[in-house]
Amino acid sequence: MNNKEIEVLLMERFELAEKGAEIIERIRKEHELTIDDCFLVFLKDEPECADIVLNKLAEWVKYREEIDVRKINSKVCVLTDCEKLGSDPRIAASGIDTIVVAVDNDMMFIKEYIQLSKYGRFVLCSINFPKVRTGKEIIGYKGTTLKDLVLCGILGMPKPLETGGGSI
Amino acid sequence: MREFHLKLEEMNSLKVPLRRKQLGDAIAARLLPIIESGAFDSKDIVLFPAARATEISLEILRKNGLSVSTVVDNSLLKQGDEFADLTIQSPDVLVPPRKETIILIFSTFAQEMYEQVCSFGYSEDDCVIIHDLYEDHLLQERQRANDIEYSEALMYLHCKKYIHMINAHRNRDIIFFPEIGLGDAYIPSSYLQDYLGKHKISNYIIMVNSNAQKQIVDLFGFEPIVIMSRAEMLEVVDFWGYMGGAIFNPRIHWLHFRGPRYGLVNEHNLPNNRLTNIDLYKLVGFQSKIKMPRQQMNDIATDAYLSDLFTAENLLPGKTVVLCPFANTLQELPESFWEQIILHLNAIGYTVCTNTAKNEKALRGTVTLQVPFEKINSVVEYAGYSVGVRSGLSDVLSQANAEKILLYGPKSESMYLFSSPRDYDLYPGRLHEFSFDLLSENEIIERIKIIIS
Repeated sequence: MNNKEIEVLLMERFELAEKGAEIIERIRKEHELTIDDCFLVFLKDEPECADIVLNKLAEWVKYREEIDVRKINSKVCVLTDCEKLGSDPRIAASGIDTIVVAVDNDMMFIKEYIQLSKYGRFVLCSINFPKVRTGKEIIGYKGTTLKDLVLCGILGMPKPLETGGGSI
Repeated sequence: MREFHLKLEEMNSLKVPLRRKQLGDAIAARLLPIIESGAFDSKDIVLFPAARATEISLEILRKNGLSVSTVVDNSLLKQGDEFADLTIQSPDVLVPPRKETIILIFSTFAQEMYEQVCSFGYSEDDCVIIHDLYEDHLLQERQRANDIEYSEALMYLHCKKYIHMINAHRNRDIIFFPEIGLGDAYIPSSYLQDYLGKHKISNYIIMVNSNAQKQIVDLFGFEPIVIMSRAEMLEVVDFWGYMGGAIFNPRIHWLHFRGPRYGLVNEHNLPNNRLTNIDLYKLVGFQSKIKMPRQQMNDIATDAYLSDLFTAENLLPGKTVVLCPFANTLQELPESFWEQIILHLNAIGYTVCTNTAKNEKALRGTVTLQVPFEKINSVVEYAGYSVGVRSGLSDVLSQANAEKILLYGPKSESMYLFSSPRDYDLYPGRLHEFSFDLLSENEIIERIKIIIS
């Protein structure tokens, strides 16, 4: 690939991201969301990952409030390309009341925007996307499970520390 | 081709967080006139919240002869932690309102915090409010993250840097050692030979951050090595990662335990406490789940060099302790601690030296040594012992066949668990590790006395 081709490819990606930005802007307006409000994104391709997050959702929402030292009190909007995930009762039970189900190719554009904007206020429930996320390789190593990875790598939930010391 | 109108200088100024010096100057400019006005005189000073700006404020207040009694923060995660020599407390300790108290509030959310302390019964006269410059900067960055035009311009800039780099090193695999520590060059270098072989890489260039890192990589026998700033590496890899990485030739290899920007796992985000930095180096950096053979760094100290050095400095071979008290990232230990160790060692007939670099000053009562990297392992082996804080140098010394004592200062428990040479695949000699989070200073001194007796 020569320099020109690289730049052309980049411009194509930008076009997709711009469509994603428009969709997000529209959602923000429709649901009266600010730039501090957060999008929790579930992908239909990764139901296992979504299920782990949904099981911990109420706890995570509470945890967000606890660590919100700036008292922004930002809202969480669930954004998904899967109707079934969007209607999951665990979302309402967690206190989240803004759910948007993206249609057609919208999620593809949104994912492009998320990548370009360096995740910003998006929590993307995925260990496969984007490819360089380097999460999958860790599963199974020293007993690391998908759940461990999702809770720490995606939700940023704290874990208890084990301690020790001595000589070798 | 589209044009991007944002000025380069403007973008760079936004990307680089305010450095401590700049922030210190900015805070001093705000705080000194208030100090000079006498607003803090004869008052019990409270800082709110426990953040970088208030930490710098504390230093400025103390330099001006004022003492701070309390630091409060709403974060449950911070409460109970040390803040300089104070303990972070809940704002509830300000209830009921204290007399002759002044609360210095320094935050973007100063208004909310002011309202909070007013609800406790304090008045405007009891508070000094400063809107946080640094937080202003972060807010600006948050807004920028939502600005697609800005994101595009930035990525375009990174694309240009990527193209510039690959044009300069055409047909070569590009190997990044992206972090700035000595260990960040030592550890990946020790596994690099195996990695190059497995991936059939023969034509490559290694990018490091500093001259010190270059020396380390060079001692493993790799070349060519080029110094490139961490910021530039991040920019290049930002574009490379955004575009999917692997589609491009030449290949980029990001050899660190923290992956490039989309990474899920790092030392602060560990899925379990069994994973160490070496595990992540292998899994994330080297993409290997299997044991990797580790190579030793070359050491070129001759017997004559060691003998001459020890004779010239009146050091006893096999009965000398090399102290390594300096660290860049972790907290150093108090001089009083080292004094007790030195007293003990002298009393039992050991000679003691401090390994120093550049402007570092040897500990009192010890011989000053400035041993280059290519000789440090031999010197420690010839001495017999080393006692030092966890630092990049302790990574280098992991291959020294000697009795080694490694100390983790206060608040480095996670480092003790995650990033210890005990997890390296090669550690001749004996390694003893003590954490100030787990043992008291006296307990550690007693244990060192047992090891070196």
